[in-house]
Amino acid sequence: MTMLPEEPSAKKLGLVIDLDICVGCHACVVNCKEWNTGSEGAPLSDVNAYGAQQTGAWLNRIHTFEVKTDSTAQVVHFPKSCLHCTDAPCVTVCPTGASYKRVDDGIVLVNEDHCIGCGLCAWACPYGAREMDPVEQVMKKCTLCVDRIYNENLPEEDRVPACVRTCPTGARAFGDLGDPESDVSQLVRDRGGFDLMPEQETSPVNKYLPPREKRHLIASDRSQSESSTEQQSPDMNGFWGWVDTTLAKLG
Amino acid sequence: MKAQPAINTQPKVSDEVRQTTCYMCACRCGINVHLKDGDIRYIEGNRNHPVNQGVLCAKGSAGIMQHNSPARLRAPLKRVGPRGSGQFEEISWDEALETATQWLGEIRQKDPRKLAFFTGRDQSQALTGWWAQQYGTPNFAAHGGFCSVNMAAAGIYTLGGAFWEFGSPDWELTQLFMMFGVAEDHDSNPIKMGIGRLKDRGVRVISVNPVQTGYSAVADDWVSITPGTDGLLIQSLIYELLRTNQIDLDYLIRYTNAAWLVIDAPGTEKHGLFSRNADGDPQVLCRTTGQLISHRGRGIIPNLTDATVDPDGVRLVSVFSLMIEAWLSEEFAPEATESRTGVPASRVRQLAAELAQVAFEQEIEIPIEWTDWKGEKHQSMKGRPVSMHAMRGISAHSNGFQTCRALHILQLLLGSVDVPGGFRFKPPYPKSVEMHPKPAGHANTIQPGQPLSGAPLGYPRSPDDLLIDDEGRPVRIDKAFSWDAPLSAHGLMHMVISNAHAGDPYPIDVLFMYMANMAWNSSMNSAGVIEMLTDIDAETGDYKIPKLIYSDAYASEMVAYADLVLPDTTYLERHDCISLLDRPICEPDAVADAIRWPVVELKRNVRGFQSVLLDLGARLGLPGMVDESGAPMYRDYADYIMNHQRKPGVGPLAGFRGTGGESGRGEPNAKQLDAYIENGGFWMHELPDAARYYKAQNADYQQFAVEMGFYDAPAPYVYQIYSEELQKFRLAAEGFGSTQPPEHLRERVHQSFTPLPEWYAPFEGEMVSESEFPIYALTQRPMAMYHSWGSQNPWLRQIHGHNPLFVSSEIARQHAITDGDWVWVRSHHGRIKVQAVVMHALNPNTVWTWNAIGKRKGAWQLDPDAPEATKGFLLNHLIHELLPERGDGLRWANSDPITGQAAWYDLKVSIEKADPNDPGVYPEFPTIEAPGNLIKPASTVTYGVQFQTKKGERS
Amino acid sequence: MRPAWSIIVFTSLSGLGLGLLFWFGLGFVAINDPIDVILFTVLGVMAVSVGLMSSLLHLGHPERAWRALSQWRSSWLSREGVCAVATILCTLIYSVVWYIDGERPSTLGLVVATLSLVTVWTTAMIYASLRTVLRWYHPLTPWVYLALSVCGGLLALNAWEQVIVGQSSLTEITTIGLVIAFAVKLIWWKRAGNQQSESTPETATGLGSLGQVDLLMSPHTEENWLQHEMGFVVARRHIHRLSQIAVALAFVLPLAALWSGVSWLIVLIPIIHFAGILIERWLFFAEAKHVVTLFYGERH
Ligand SMILES: Nc1nc2c(c(=O)[nH]1)N[C@H]1C(S)=C(S)[C@@H](COP(=O)(O)OP(=O)(O)OC[C@H]3O[C@@H](n4cnc5c(=O)[nH]c(N)nc54)[C@H](O)[C@@H]3O)O[C@H]1N2
Ligand SMILES: Nc1nc2c(c(=O)[nH]1)N[C@H]1C(S)=C(S)[C@@H](COP(=O)(O)OP(=O)(O)OC[C@H]3O[C@@H](n4cnc5c(=O)[nH]c(N)nc54)[C@H](O)[C@@H]3O)O[C@H]1N2
Ligand code: SF4
Ligand code: SF4
Ligand code: SF4
Ligand code: SF4
Ligand code: SF4
Ligand SMILES: [Mo]
Repeated sequence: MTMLPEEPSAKKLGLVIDLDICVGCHACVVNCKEWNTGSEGAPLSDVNAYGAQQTGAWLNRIHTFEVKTDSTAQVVHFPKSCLHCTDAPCVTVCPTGASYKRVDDGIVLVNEDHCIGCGLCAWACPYGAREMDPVEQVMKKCTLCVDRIYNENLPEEDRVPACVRTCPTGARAFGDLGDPESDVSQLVRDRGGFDLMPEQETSPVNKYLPPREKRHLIASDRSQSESSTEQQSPDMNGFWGWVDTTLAKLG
Repeated sequence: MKAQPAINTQPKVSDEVRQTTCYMCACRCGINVHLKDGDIRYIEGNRNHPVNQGVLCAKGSAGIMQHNSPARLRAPLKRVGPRGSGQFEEISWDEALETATQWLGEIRQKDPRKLAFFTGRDQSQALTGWWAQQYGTPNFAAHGGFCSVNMAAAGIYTLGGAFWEFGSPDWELTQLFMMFGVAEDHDSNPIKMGIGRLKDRGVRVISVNPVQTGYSAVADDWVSITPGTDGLLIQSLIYELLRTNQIDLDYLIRYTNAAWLVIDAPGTEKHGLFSRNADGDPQVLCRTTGQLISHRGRGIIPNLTDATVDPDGVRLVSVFSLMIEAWLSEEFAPEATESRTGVPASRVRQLAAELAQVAFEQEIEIPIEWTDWKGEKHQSMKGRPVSMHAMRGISAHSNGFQTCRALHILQLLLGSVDVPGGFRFKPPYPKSVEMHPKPAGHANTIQPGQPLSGAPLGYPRSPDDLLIDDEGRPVRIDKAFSWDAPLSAHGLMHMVISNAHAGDPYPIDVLFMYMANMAWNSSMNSAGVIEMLTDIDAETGDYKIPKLIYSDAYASEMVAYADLVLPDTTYLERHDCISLLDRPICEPDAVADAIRWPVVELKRNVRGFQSVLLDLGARLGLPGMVDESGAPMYRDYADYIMNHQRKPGVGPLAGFRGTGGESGRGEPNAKQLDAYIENGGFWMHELPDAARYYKAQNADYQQFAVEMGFYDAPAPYVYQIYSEELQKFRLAAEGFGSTQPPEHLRERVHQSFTPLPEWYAPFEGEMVSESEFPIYALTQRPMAMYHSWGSQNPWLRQIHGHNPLFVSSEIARQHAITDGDWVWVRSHHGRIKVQAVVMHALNPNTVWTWNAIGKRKGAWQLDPDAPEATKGFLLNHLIHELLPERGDGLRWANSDPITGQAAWYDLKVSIEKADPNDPGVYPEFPTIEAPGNLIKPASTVTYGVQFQTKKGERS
Repeated sequence: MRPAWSIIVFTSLSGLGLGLLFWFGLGFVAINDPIDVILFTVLGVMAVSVGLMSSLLHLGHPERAWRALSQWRSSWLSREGVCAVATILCTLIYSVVWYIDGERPSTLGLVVATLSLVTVWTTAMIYASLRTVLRWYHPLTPWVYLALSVCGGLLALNAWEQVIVGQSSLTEITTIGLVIAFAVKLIWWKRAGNQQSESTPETATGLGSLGQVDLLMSPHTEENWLQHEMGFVVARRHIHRLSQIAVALAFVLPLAALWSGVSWLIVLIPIIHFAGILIERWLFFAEAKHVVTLFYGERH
């Protein structure tokens, strides 16, 4: 199974993450941990939980970047989890077959019972989407909440990944990116969705939507504007005249 | 290809789902708690809940870890070592309650003021305030005074309702959203959901904030303002709107006091008051007849322009003309303000133009017929789809009250308050200041063994309502409602400990606190506060604050300073009620309240604080808590929630009352809590369509409000651009009236109580040398952490284990600071050593850090070498509760002069690179011992492993 | 990348062992007595399997290591496992047949030699196929492993001969081996070390069109597993010093010792060389940067 499916599945389930909306609240991160630590696999454990160098296994993380030009600085909150790549290098390097890409829907999973914890798949993943569980010593990664999205024990509207369901701003969308007519594909087309590190040739399924154009100037714009504006004094008589005419209209 | 592993895509999630209310912060979202074998399997948002509609934030999602925290207190504790040592002995509830009853009983019979009862992050103020009232002490408040009272009070005095969680933008209809100084808010999830929805609709979001993170980062337009100058920026915007004739005159006339006439008789006791007719109604000048008439008349078109005289020959001018005089003045031209605000004139113009463009060219109308308070019928509801929101960025400054008033006036000029697309009130707001009680507890009304005549907190309307004695001395320990802070509607929690320590205005005997970490992050000058708590009176040999009772659920820094600890449950183990009588959770279109109930079994010897309080009340024989025979009236809080009535038919919960499930008013219902549980933990009742907007002036809404029990008769009103209440205080400062400010405060009261808001520079910046302390220092709320109490959470503390100081690239350049450098930060009060990170998207004169991440060693069951203590820090060590000494030897509180709001964000500092060979935070405090009976924290957490047996069972 | 000792020891030791077996397979080994065949086999196989064992230490679940043999169709790690096992098995058969027959089964020997090289190649390809680690992702990487392995084997062989026969005859060829290995490594250092990464924080985030991208806040304030594993940083001056030591130990000193004619020195050469290779291997990891660090504020 460590080979990628010979025929990539037509169905490509994945996430679309809107960088224009994400406020960096970490809700998706913690809810993901909460859902998955009680899931079928081993718990997502934490070490030094109450001490120094606290750390643990998570399937989703939020980075915060500053994007700068000479006159602008834009803070971008950047969620990152497994992109369920079509050409997933993490799968092909796995010596045991524990890592595999599902034939049905393209979800990349780890069979924890077979995983030897060699870590090679994490080396192969360009995105840092795999983390070794510090206690169980098996590889952990986003499952796309495969135990939610098909789960008939959940109400239909809840059959979406935990991170998507919980995201307060709605910055995360879930769907079939293999279907050009799906909502998510539409979104990607409309908003110029892009791949992370295309040069790594992993063909990620997950897409990112860019921040829309902003006026996030940093202080240096002050001097420019000063010269470009000239002061206009208010015209008192004109103002009272306007008030009078307006009142007349009301009456 | 071999077959792929068969995986269980259909696991059973839980045995049972219980719906209650989150309490990882004050937003109070609805949650579904999934239980499996008695353990919490998963917590998710409740989709039907009005607040969060299914979403859940990071903190809420970490509830499992909070609930299972090793820092949870386990039993009542009696201090056995010195204060602050953390040495305690476990005692029984009987002993604890007896001790408290004895301490409190004695002073109640002698002088109930000797009890100061302050309740921090209380969500049951309807109970705790009432308890204080029944006990008979005026010394009660919750955390509002150091939190956002500027916002709350400015809202009430101006609009009859505040931003905060008392109103919200019309997320569905607004076309432009402007935010001032918001990082996270109490309305955490709703704001995020709202911003998300605006983005979906392509609506522009503008954020005015010195720091660009979170909401400001996704804003389409980020305005990097110099801290403390929003009032100026807003007045510049007003100037621009006036200059370009872009204001909503019709709205101003109908819904505000713009047309009201003000007496212009400088030097007299009437100057600046409204001209009133014989019935006491404010008057306007009729444009057609030239007569003075009551503003209550229908269809009046007033004359706004011309001054007039009353029958006594006194000159009268309209509020509107005063506004024009005040704001159409060159001093507010964008060019004149840009150097102070840091917002270029061109951008101010752009912003003003944008506001006007959306307000006036994108007017919306929804076809709902409604009747206004004068009986006039309107075919539709007209909306100006500009909405605004503000939080502590403007409120936590010493000019915050007036800044917030200015902001409300800007909204009114645009005609966008409680209209479609604008800022909307959430019932039971709006409610004019007249409808709010005045503070009770006048010096001569306090009687030993007797309850107070009313609630300790309220809204004074003139100097006569102040709580001062005949010599003008404060009645309250926090000096609320005194000339120090006349409109301190939420009290001044941040002054309690220092005043009690100084015995000023008088010493107290028992300090009773609930849910406030005053020995650490909620105090200014934390090190000083720690000293005050442990300071010994040389005469008595006892502590200066002799007895300290504290209720916390966890081993916080504050616990170590208590003499008696009343351990609370976690939020999943107790009954609570989120009441309309307190800070409600309503939506603009619906009235709502909610409960918490024990969804997991309690396995420690702890009790819900509210039940304990009722028990104490009964032991003390407080009226309303015992029946005629002296027996307790309420079994516990749950019993109280269902059976207590404030007035006939109105109780803590408004839903499922009576036998027929009445809403709002109705007899107590013994099955009420069951009905709430059945309904998902909350109750919601939608407003009729005609009542949805213009609530303050809307006859349909007023009727609805009466039915719901918000008040007993319709109480419509118009918004107060010009505040006569403030003018009354000003007149007192000018020497009129029987109650006047003491000499040392006269000038300050006169300057700050302007009936139209005026901007003044924040006090600290004015009092310290600009060259010595040129830099502004702020904190922000991290979205994934709640004050001090999130650090005990192993998940959240991985996200925020310590906090750097973010310094602007400009400051970094000046001081050659690079990421990771240790820097000394100095204020007039102290110095700290911290690690810096350089940030570009930041006001050039500003540094900031995350709030309350730094921890005291030993607290919260964290290892003493946890990064929270070794790298994390508090800015609070630089902030003093008093301003630097003035020439006259007096020190003013570091607060807003009107409301007493703590001016956290006035802080000015200097920065200097530290010796790289001497890294580490300064100051360091000795480790405090945790109470000995706590469970030992595990080093490894594998939550969910208990479900593993189940995991094997593939279905 | 974090230089984990288990992996360093594994690649170095099994590399050396496989080098030995390569020459052994070719019959290029001094045998005085049939028992020497067994002795030599034990030496070579020991080196390879101690290396393998050490690599197992690196695993979270060594008890499941056998599963790693299953994915030879796509995984270099799996291929390495398969090849290593095959090499060891063939060697054992080869040497038993040789010992019993007293005659070297040369075809089988060829198989052993080939398998040895292939195993080294597969080990190297584990690294060389990782696009995420640019320094490794270079066509020369497997050649370096191969050259070092073969050269190491040669040095050991030379020492063996010195011990068994009391003198060594491989000075010239060993010199050639050393020079070639050194040259290959040198070229690798120049080439692989100076590749310009296509991946940048800008491509990692896709935000390059908006400006320069820098990390402001990490997702977590303390180091996590990813950073621990892939964010290893070592000061440039340490790298410089260590590379000098590595070159000295692995190549220069062995060369000098080889030509010194001092017999005990000649016996010590493999050990000196091996010490150099350990440092070389440490640097191989320590100097390599993983693209994931771009998300954590690094710029390659
Ligand atoms: N520098 C700086 N300082 C600030 C601020 C700032 O912006 N900058 N903000 C200020 C503001 S606005 C506020 S509101 C304060 C907040 O500061 P605090 O009021 O101190 O808030 P918390 O840290 O949340 O602590 C409240 C206490 O409640 C306890 N607690 C939690 N859950 C329960 C429970 O269920 N029952 C009981 N009985 N106790 C419980 C916690 O353990 C904790 O000890 O901080 C203020 N301090
Ligand atoms: N996650 C989380 N949520 C919380 C809390 C928490 O601790 N964690 N605390 C709760 C409490 S008690 C409160 S009071 C609320 C507070 O909610 P907020 O008011 O949203 O929180 P603060 O972090 O105080 O944010 C103040 C913002 O104002 C900006 N600011 C500072 N000075 C100025 C200024 O002069 N002008 C302008 N325009 N902006 C300025 C700061 O940069 C910051 O972004 O949050 C509540 N919600
Ligand atoms: S993101 Fe990483 S872990 Fe996920 S499929 Fe792609 S390479 Fe594999
Ligand atoms: S860590 Fe597990 S999943 Fe990853 S490559 Fe190794 S065996 Fe495969
Ligand atoms: S899809 Fe599920 S597993 Fe993946 S990041 Fe979201 S919540 Fe986590
Ligand atoms: S929950 Fe949504 S808004 Fe919050 S960090 Fe995740 S993606 Fe961003
Ligand atoms: S905002 Fe978060 S922590 Fe606060 S009540 Fe809602 S879910 Fe709970
Ligand atoms: Mo607050």
